Amino acid sequence: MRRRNVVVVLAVGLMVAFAASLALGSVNIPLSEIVTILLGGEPARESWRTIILNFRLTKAITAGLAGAALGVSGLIMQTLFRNPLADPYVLGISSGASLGVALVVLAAGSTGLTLLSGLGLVGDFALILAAITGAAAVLVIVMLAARRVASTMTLLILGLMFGYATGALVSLLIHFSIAERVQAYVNWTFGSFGGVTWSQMPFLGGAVIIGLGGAVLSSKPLNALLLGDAYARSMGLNIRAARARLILSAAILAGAVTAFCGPIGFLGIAVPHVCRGLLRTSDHRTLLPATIIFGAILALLADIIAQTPGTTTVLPLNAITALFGAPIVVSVILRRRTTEGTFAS
Amino acid sequence: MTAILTAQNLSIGYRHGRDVIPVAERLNFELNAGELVCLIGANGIGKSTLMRTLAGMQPTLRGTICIGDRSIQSFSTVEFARQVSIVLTERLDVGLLTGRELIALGRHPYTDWLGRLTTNDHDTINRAIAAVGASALADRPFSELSDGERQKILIGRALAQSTPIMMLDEPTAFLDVPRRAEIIYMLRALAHTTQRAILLSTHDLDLALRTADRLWLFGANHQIYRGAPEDVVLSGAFESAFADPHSRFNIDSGSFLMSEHRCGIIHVIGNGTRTTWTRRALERTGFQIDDNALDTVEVLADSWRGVVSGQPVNWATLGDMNAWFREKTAE
Amino acid sequence: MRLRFLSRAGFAALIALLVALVPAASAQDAANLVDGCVESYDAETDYFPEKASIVDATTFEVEYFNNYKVIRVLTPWAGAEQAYEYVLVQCGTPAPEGYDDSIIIEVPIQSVIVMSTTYLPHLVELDVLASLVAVDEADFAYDAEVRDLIEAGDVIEVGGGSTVDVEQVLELDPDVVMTYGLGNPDFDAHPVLIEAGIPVALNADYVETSPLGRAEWLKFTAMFYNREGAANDLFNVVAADYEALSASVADIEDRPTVLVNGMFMDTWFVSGGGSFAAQLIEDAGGAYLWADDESQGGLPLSFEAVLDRAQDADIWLNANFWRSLDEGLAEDERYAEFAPFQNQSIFNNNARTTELGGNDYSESGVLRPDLVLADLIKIFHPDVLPNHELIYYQQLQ
Repeated sequence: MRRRNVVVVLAVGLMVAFAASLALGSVNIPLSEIVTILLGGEPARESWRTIILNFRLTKAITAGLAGAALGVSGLIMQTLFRNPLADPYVLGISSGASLGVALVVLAAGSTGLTLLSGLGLVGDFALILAAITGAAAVLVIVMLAARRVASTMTLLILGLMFGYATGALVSLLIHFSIAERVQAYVNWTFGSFGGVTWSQMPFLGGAVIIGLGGAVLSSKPLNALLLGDAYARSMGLNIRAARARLILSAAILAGAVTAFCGPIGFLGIAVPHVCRGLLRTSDHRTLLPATIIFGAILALLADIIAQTPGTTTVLPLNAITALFGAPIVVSVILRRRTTEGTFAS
Repeated sequence: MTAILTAQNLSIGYRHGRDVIPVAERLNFELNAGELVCLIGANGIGKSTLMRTLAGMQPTLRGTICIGDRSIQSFSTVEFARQVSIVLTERLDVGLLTGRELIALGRHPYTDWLGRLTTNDHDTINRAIAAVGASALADRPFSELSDGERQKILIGRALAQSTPIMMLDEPTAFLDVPRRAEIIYMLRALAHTTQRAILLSTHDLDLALRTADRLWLFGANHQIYRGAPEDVVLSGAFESAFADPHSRFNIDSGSFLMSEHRCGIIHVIGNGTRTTWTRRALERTGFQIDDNALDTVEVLADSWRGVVSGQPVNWATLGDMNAWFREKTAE
Repeated sequence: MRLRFLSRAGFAALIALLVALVPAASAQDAANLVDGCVESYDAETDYFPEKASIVDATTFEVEYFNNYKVIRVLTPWAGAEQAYEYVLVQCGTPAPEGYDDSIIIEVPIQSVIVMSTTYLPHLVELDVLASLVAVDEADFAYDAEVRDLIEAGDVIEVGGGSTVDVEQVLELDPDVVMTYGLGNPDFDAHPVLIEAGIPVALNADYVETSPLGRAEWLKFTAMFYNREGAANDLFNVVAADYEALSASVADIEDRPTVLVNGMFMDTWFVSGGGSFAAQLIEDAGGAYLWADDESQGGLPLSFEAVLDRAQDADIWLNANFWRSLDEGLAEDERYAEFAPFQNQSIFNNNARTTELGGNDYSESGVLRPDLVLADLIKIFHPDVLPNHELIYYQQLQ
């Protein structure tokens, strides 16, 4: 009963956050005008229609998709690695996606200040494919390493090292590229929900829906994996198939978001933890939908704050997500210490 | 006795690339329904390897393992999950799962793709909870339970998996003595009432001897001696399996004694419980009990009287007696 | 003396001046010494009959003495707390007393290293290109003669900023290294060079807020070569041209609204109302949409905010570095929401560029604001300059 209440509250919260994202921005547009525009009517100013439909609406949808995708990707990784601190950013998966993107963009040779300049539709597809491939590659490497490494802390350090390594590779690529492409790449690393247009939305939306679908189909295996590989196999789970499906879903989610929004940190770690805390459960059949909704809400909130409505300054998105996420991560680490202390072994 | 699982000409061990490292070869045995089997043996002899191989967690080197008349190779993962369930010793971190939720996971081989539980599933889960006496624990988070309580939940999960065979790897490893007895007695009762074949490995030899329906003794010769516990002991296989320079298994007392007999032999006069424990005290000091000995200790109602080298002596407690003998040996 | 891209009016004025100057130049004591040193020093002689007077530039001033000139660069960078003083002493005459804290340089100099493309046109117009031995980044030079020298290996690359190759510079032993400072030791070249004992002259043309002020830095360069005469002449032509052009549109009431720049990261940096770009627009008869703002730098705005004010702008200038409207679409298809995009009235200042990244707008364009102004007037009010063809700007298709 209590869980159902929480889900209802979350759903309402999502609608409020979405509406706020449409209503708040550097240009003051009255709520009535927004409603008029959404219903297809004539607004007082033409520019407002463009702003709402082509900017705020796309940004809100992107934020929602990205938040859900990153949250679920983090949840999958936390269960796969039996590690509450796993997430796409920490384990270097976002860096892998970045490397994929860097290779496509810096090698593509076209000019322009933004990442996707001159690539067109084929380019969008190539970009998302490169990002997903990069993400999957790092994820597989980290999983292989996880078999040899018993300690979860060691695994996190490995992930950080992969992050550094791919970052170094990208620096080298930058060094040998021309200035404008480099600037475009640097811009992209700052992370933003505002760069996705309607023509790109099908790619992002499609990838996220596929990834989320794969995750939801894997709720049962995820629950079984809570007991570890040995028990899961003894209960009839095909570990290899399940793991492959999970890795693919996590990589698609992290890769697609990274490709279109740049690397965005902390949502992957923080959202699953907050959901666990709110719902007091580890059952993925409840956690997955909750993570999807709460991830969307948190991303929308972070974006609204980054826009600093009422002023013209725009704060970097990753700074805001860090402000949210870092305290949550710290509290998780501290809490783990105390519970580990009570294990009398 | 219906044999549910049989092994024929089984070789178990490890492969590292080209190298084959056998742990035991040409094993033949069967697991019967309704029996509690305890697998015992010295450390490192291969008990875990055997359990893992039987549970399908490790491949056989040679030979076959059959459930019914099908080789376990022929089972799909899900089919096998409906035949064999396991309980392991490792520490689990299951997050916020409650006892009931964990037991419910045992229904994995029977539920649909979303893992939805039917009324039948719920019934099975409830029965499992009752069978392991975990009704009070079921709705509490697993992480908050004590070691003994956790074992019950894990056994409950294996029960809920509704398998004819259950295998437990050192289920009493981290438990205190009362809890150990409780768990093993519970397992035996389960075997008898549900007609499951339950195989468990343990280092708790005393408990194994007292509770197992059958004992599988993994000897130093890498063969498994099987039989009722008492048969295994009387055959001398027990002694030779656990032979050690410093201690021997004593058939009469059914326990391990130090090999040193510094003090010689002594004759104990008396019957009943006090006499049994008097004998133990003397053995502990270093005596060997022998009815032909000249020195004697007589067990009285509330004291002990000894005749040592012709001299009479009285002790109020066994502790006094030990101290007296220790001083005498030191002279 | 060689000159490029003169407007016809300017050309006529130049011929007149040349004719007037020839007799003057032939008189030995009415010109500065552009070659060689003084043989026998006479303390009474004024060795600099041709003097520069600074009219529009506000960041430097000069004071003349018989055998030396003192240049003060007042604000080498925004917020600078101290001025830099350069004492240029006529070669063959003794250096004056009392200038221990200043940098003393003998003129005319024979070799120079420059670290900004804006100084290259000075060298070309003053006919002293032969003294150029190195630049910071060879790729960015536009001028054809300079490129020839680079290709021939007569002008080499020494890097710029704090990573300048000091050893290379010492090896070349230039009389002066001309560079600019940002006031940030992490990025500036001059602290590193000064520490190595190399004579550095800080050029602050980029700090100037008026187009003519920037162009007047030609005189700064000229003073190192004793060629103030030529510099004065050219600058007068440029200034006169500029004044004439801006006067021709000053009274026009119907001004087109103007938008500038594009998105950079998540921000659209729109030039402030007090900025260089705004003044050019104003002088060319345009109505800059952010003229009400007073800042001299850029305003960080969101796409929304810019769209709200400028969606119906008449003219759009300097939209990032697009060469075609397709490039704009590829960057972000929502740029098409702007009226100037739909009407194809976007003009970018990258008409004169090289493949390596050189752009003449930041080279000769700085010296010739009159030509830039002509371009802008042609864009805003085509009928005022019917025969002018765009030089630095191109209309995006």
